[in-house]
Amino acid sequence: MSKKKVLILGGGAVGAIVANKVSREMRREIARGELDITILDKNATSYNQGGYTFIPFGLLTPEDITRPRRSLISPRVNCVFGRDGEVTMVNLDQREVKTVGGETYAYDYLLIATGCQCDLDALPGLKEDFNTFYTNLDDTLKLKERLENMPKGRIVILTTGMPVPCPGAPGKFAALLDDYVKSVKGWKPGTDSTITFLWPLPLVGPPEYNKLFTRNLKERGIEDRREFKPTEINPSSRQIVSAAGEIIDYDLLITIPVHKPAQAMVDSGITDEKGWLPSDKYSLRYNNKGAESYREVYVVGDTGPVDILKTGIGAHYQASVTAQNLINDLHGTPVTVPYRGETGCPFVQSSYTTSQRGKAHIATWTYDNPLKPFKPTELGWFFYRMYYYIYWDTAIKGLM
Amino acid sequence: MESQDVKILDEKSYEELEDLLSLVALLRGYLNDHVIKDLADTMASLSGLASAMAGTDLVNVLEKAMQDPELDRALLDPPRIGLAGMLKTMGDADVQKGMGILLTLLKAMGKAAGNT
Repeated sequence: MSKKKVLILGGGAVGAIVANKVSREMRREIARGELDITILDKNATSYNQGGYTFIPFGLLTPEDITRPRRSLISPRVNCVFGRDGEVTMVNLDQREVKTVGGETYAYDYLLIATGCQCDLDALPGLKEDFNTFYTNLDDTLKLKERLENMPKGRIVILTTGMPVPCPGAPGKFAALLDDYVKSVKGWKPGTDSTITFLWPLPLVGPPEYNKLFTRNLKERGIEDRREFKPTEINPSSRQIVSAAGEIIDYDLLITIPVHKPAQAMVDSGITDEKGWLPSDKYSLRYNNKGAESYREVYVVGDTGPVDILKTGIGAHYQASVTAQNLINDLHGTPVTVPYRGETGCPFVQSSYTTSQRGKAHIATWTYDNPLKPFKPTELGWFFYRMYYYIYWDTAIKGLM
Repeated sequence: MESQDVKILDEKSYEELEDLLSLVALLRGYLNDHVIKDLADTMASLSGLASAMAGTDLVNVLEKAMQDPELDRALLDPPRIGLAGMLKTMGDADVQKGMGILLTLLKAMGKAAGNT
């Protein structure tokens, strides 16, 4: 029996979950040399990106959200990190992938889970004054330092456009920031500081989420501007210019830029007209409006099409379904398990300070089952906080 | 008609009830077919472990053995036993019985592995 090859591009949450689940189920086939599962990634360290939002406020430490990738992935899976794992070209017709190191990897099944990255070129002037928690741990720690050392002033949280991964995070950050400046820095609202939230869409999240979010910002006195489309940043005068010609002044600009997929995907010519990897929204198999489809290629997580929300919760459920579909493919079972659009976003109403307990709720919904009215609670906050601590050992290992 | 007492929850208790119900909603939203299967698989593994523990007197033997004061002393100051020491210790009746148990367990493991 010839060896089947499952190639996974990306060793992040999706890649690790799928590799762990499939290798556990197919461990005998791997042991008999009938199956090979290989992960390619340029990075050997995993970061829980959802945790970045909490780092500037000391709610999580760098150690909490960092793990060596190899320790998270089953020894049954081959991991190639570094230059030999950095993908440069994906050839779907030839079923092979090339890397910086010069290796060519052939596959029978391909999982593309290469995530996304900030597009700094999309907004002129942004690169010269870019403060964020959306790129990596270093940038997030720099932002932490800036916030700690900032005497007072106007803080603007700007989301430049869509899509961004974790669309709830900028809003979560706003609430946590407000509690931080009030209770930790002791700023008096309205006098020492203002926080302004600039958002490119009319709503933040689905209607029920938006309702509570809007009310929360209003009660906190945070300026809340929707459908704000920035056209340029002026770092010397510290101003944001909008498409409508409006000018917003800032002392500290925290930006969540619009995102784009990994460069290798663009270079390979496999992105759709919106610039992302196209897939069937149920099977998650590569499908560019029926014109080009590859039954053996799965597109999962942040790298997927714009009509599938880019969330951590969504990525987890997509990974679950894809692992099962790959197992079915390998067994020759003609059953495709659909992704029902399970996604969500933790809503944070308040943080845990000296004067109050934190309140949150993990809001979830699916493609056709909308988010119901909910109430953020103290237990919800603790559940959310606990999740990031046990995330590595339960979620990533494919145990729940 | 008899009057019936209606108990009204105080504000704090009502809040606590809401908290609990919200957690239920949260957990309910988290569950789907695949999560259930994962939870079941994990529980199955743990059940296997429980079955191993519950189905043998070896656990009771280990329970007593691990509390042996001689073991406590050895852990405080581990004796260094080389090849000669090993051969000497194997003259002791208790050690011989322990070896018997271990070797029988090893044989059983070999039998069990060969049958999967």
